[in-house]
Amino acid sequence: MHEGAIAQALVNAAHNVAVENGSKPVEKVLIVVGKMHQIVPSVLETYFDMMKEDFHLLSNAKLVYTEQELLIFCKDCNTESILETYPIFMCPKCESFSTEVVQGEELYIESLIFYKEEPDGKE
Amino acid sequence: MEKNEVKVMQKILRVNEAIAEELRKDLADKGVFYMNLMSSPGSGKTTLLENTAPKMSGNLAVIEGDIQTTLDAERVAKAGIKAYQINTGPFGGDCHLESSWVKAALQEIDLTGIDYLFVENIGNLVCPAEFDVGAHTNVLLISTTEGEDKPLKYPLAFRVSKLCVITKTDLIPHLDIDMDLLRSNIHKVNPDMKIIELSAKTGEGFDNWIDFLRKNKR
Repeated sequence: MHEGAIAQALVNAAHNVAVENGSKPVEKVLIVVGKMHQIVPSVLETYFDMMKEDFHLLSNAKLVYTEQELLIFCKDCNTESILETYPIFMCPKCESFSTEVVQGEELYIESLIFYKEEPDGKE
Repeated sequence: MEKNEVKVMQKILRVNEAIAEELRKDLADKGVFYMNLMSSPGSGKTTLLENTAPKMSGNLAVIEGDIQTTLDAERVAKAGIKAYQINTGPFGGDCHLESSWVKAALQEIDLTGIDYLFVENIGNLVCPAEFDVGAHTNVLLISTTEGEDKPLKYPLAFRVSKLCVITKTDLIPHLDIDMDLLRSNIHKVNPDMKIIELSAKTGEGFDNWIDFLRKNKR
């Protein structure tokens, strides 16, 4: 259900960026989502496709979703690792729990790709 | 990068986060310690507040979040807490609160003389964890009846919270719960998490919660 609120914030933000960049129709909205977020990509996409209809610049846009791996830094052995034991925040090298997340909390729009030509059926 | 591509690098929830930062600062400036209570439905958030009020000389305010009804606001108001109820039902039934809702609610609450503000978030361990409501501390409640595995199933809620209050400890003799395993699971997900164990019914451990509040008074 939180995917609905995130999709709403996403279409609002993407529309503002499109307007700031010449109000051209958007072909793709590329987003990056860290593994920590509990987002179901297909649910987010469904909401996105529903809500984009409110913005004519987005009405033919496709959502491109990239999941970011979880990386932790171990303060005991000073190494960075992919956290394969998520949700257990333990260093895979020395088994210390003195770790911090260095990647995997992201939730951002990476870029917008605009149509080179107007999409069919649109003015 | 394609020619017709524009780099954005903008947080999707930046509007929510900007309002949250504003609330965090405003309330700190006003000398109010602001907590966001999150838990499953029925973990005892409202009961914790009802039992906190008599020990804190009436300087509490609560923003209640529920999909429907004003039942929780009525309960805490009876306990002497200044209460404001948000119902998300008429607006699509959102299962979490966002910072803009809290900001709007604060327009309706006179915080004069208030030392502690609580948001009692909607009972749900998934969605509320995604949205910063601007609290100084997120507090997660888990009751002994919920078993040992909640931290592993809902890690984000445990990662974004600093304090875990384990409630209903009076029921432990009647349950199969392994408290050591529960504590260990909490710390596997969030090694820095502080834990307070209490029973609002018997009062056991409740002083630790009151001490936590007093220590954090602004």
